[in-house]
Amino acid sequence: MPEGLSNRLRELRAERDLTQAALAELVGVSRKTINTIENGVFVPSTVLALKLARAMGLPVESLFSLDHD
Amino acid sequence: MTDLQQAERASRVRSALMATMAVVLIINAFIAPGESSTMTPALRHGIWAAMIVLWLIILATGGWLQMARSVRSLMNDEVAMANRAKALQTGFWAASVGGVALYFASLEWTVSAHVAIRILVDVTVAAAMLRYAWLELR
Repeated sequence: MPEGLSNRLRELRAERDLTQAALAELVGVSRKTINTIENGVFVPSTVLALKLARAMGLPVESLFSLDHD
Repeated sequence: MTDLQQAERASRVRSALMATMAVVLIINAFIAPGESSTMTPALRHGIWAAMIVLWLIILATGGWLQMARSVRSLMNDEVAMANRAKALQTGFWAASVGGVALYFASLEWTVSAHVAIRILVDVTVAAAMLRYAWLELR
């Protein structure tokens, strides 16, 4: 996970019974992108983070947060 | 097959081809940098240049231009673009280090300009393609 950033994407995606492929299709990216974001390898752009939040029906702060939050 | 499935499959093929071509380029640069008896020089140089230009276009654009725009946008999403940027950085450093190495090699051995340039370009493009393939396939 990049220093200072946490994400709950995998956990929240699982709660909604969404596969990585399904979420990828909703957002318009590859499944690999979802996987690398969930594993903390890749930090999405603001636009992509907002699209993920909209696809999950959540505020973006529910998906991504700074470690000290 | 959905756009996502097509894009994933094409991305894997792209990465595998890049890795394979990178190895071919490296072997070609160091094992056969000189003359070949089976082709005319013009044909050999032309084929090499065409191959390099093709792979540079693929590195720059993501390639697979014949596919639908929706598939290509998935193949070239944020992660792919970030990986491509890192790959080009690797190519830059390979070119810099390779150039310095060739500089010092030329002080010791006679290295013709076209052999030196071919080695440098092969190493540069190969390094970029290998890095991209590794990032995409990991």
